This record gives sequence, structure tokens and C-alpha cells, in this order.
Amino acid sequence: MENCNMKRGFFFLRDCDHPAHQSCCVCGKAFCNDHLRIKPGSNEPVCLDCLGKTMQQQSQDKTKAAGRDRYNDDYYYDDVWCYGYRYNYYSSYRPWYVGQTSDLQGSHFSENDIRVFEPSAEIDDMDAEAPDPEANVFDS
Amino acid sequence: MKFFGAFSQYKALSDEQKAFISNAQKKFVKTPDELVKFFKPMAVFDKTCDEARAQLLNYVILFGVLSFLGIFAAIVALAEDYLIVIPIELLMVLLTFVGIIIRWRLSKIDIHNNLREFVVPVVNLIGQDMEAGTKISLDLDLRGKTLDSKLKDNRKNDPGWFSYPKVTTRVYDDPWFRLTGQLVDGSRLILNVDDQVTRIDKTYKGSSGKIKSKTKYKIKHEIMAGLALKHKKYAVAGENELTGLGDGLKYKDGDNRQLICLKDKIKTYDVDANVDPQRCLALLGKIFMSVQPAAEKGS
Repeated sequence: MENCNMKRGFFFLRDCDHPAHQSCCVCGKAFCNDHLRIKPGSNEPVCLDCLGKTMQQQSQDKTKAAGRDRYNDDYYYDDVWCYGYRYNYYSSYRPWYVGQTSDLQGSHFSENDIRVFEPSAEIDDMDAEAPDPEANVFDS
Repeated sequence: MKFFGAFSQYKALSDEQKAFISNAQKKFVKTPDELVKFFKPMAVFDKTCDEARAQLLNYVILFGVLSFLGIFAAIVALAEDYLIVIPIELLMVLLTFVGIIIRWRLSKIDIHNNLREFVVPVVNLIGQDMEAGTKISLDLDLRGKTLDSKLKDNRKNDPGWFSYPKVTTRVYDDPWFRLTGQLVDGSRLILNVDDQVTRIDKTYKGSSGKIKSKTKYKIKHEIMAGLALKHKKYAVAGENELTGLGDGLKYKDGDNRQLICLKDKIKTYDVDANVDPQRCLALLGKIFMSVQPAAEKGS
């Protein structure tokens, strides 16, 4: 079964390990249920990237205030907003990509959009490190 | 009538959420997902509440004007023996007062827009770059910026009886947002927002000789974003990279990590203005853009 094509994350893009279930009605790529929502106004699945982008465009277009409210009520405080927001944000920021550039195929990103985190510097010991928000930032 | 929606959304909140709205201060140690789930209904409610209050204000103004005009209409109607105007006038007055009371009730359960416009988006975005199940520490204080307990300085310039201008300057410190957590690359993240509110009350003599008073607010939002980056993952930042980060930079190099902090200041005159999350995320982006993975720089 095909894996989800979403690159999740904001400062760090990572592959989604979940199997894809349905295709986005806008971009046609396959995604898992976590990265799909129901498109407002139709009953079709749409990926977070496409829905987020639409939401951002709606919020910038003052003449479509009614549509913006509908999107806001359903999705503004959801992950959808983050995925829409990152498209504007990436005009001045190149996210790290934790993976191989060959894995970018099928995603919304190309090699020019990202900075690859070198495999030797990749996350390797996260389990060994218990997060402690109270700890001194220089500890561990 | 949006206030029906606002009250029904408030009723649907859990006791913990209602308690947070009433106290507006709490320290959380939870995952970003848990926090967004906790804040989301309050954010939706707060948006509806603000819309309802704006709508009620319009109704209050409309019915208030109609009530005022109704007084004259009632006087004329009494003279003309046209009594139907009297109950209509009473209805207008009643609707005005009902509108005022409902609006006041809504203002009692209102929470600062920073919750929905800053806290929720920032926690949501930070959560995108954290391992599932990793908790963040979030210390929130949305009680208000001009509480007596937050007063840091109070200066009075009073030249004496019947002498003007008299100026009272009060300075409040409001450290309302503290977030710490660990990102997916092992970096420790620190985000702080401190507001400094200066309230100036001035009593002066106008050109006509009348005594006038006015109150002015100056608000300074200070955002601090810091990342403690592991040496194992990131090369020590060079002088050139650090210079590019600007004046608000604080840099410290430790045994295991380098700490890079950036500050941004926003000035406004609106005590209810919310902080734009973009300003905070831009600081983090600037730090991440200035560093390189250890392997890449070393090679």
C-alpha cells in the first residue's frame, strides 16, 4: 500500500509513515486520514496542504468574507491553519528536511524549497532523552 | 442574534475550561495536542462572544437612539391622545437595557484575544515539530494587563491645587506567556512574551479654560525566542552568522548546547491588541536559518 505523501512539520519536514487511504480532490495525491479533511461545500476529501492554501487565500481576499468565516470556524484552530500558514512562511524560510531528497517525489516540495538535514546529524537518540521543560537549557 | 450562540458555546465548555476563563491564569504541562484540544472550544467561543458583543453594541445604539426620539414622540402622542406610542417607547427603553445587561454579562466571560490569535496558533505550530507525546510547559496569565499586582512604577506630577497639568504615569509589567519544550531535533525551545503597559492620566486646562482629563496607553510587547541547540546536531554558529541576527541577539555557548536568543519589540496604543504569532515564528525561523547541521559544517 502506498504511504501518505504529506510532509509533516513546520521548521522540520518529515515523511508521514502512515499508509495512504484516499486521494485529495484537488492535487490528486494519496494521503492518510490524519492529513485529510472534508472540503467545505463539497463532501470530498482534501489534503491539509491544499485546504490550508485555500484558507490562506480566502483570508487574504477581503471580498470573500463569508467564505472565510466558514473556513475559520471549522479549521482555523486546527492543523489546517498550520499547513496553510507554512506556505506563506516558506517565502522567507527554507525548512529542514529530515530524509532523502528522492523521497520528495510526490510531495508539494522540491529540492530547492528545502535544506536537507545531513544523515549523520539526523535525529538518532530522541528516545534516550526524556524531555524536561523545567530543566536548564544547557543540560544533557 | 449571536449572543444565543455565545451563551450556548459557553454552556458546552467543561468545568475546567470555564474555570480557566474565570481565572485566566494557569500553568500547563501537557502535549500540544492536548492543549489545542483544551483551548479550541474557548477560542471558538471567544470569537463568537466578540462578534455578539459588537452586534449587541449596534442594537443598543439603535434602540437607545429610538428611545430618545420616542420621548419626543410620546410627548406629542400624549397631547394628541395617541397612546399606542407609549408602550412602543417603553419597549425600546427595555430593549436598550436588556442589550446593555447581556453585553455586560458577555464581557464578564470574555477572555483576551491573545488566547485565540496568539496562544492557539503558536502551540499548534510548535506541536508540528515535536515528537508525539512530548509535553511542553506553558505558563499563561491572561487576567489583564493593568492589575494592581502588575504595577511596577507609579509617578505623580502634581503642581498643587488649581495648578495644571497634573500627570500620573503608571507602568505595568505583564509577563503573560512562557513556553518551553523540546523540538524533534532535540533543541530546547523557549518563547516568552512580556507586555509593558504605560498608562498616562493627564488633567489639564483647555484653551477655553475648562478642566479636561484624558487617559493614554502605550503598550510595548517584547517577544523573546530562544533555542538551545545541541552541539551534536548543530555546528557552533560563527561570528558572521551571529552578526546577521541583529541587535536583539543573546548568545551563550555551553558544554552540550549553544543558546541563541532573539528579541523583537512591538509598540502599540491599544491595550487590547493581540500579538501577531508571525513575529514570534519569524524569530525562530531566523535562528534556524543561521545555523548548519554539525556534519554539514564540519565536512
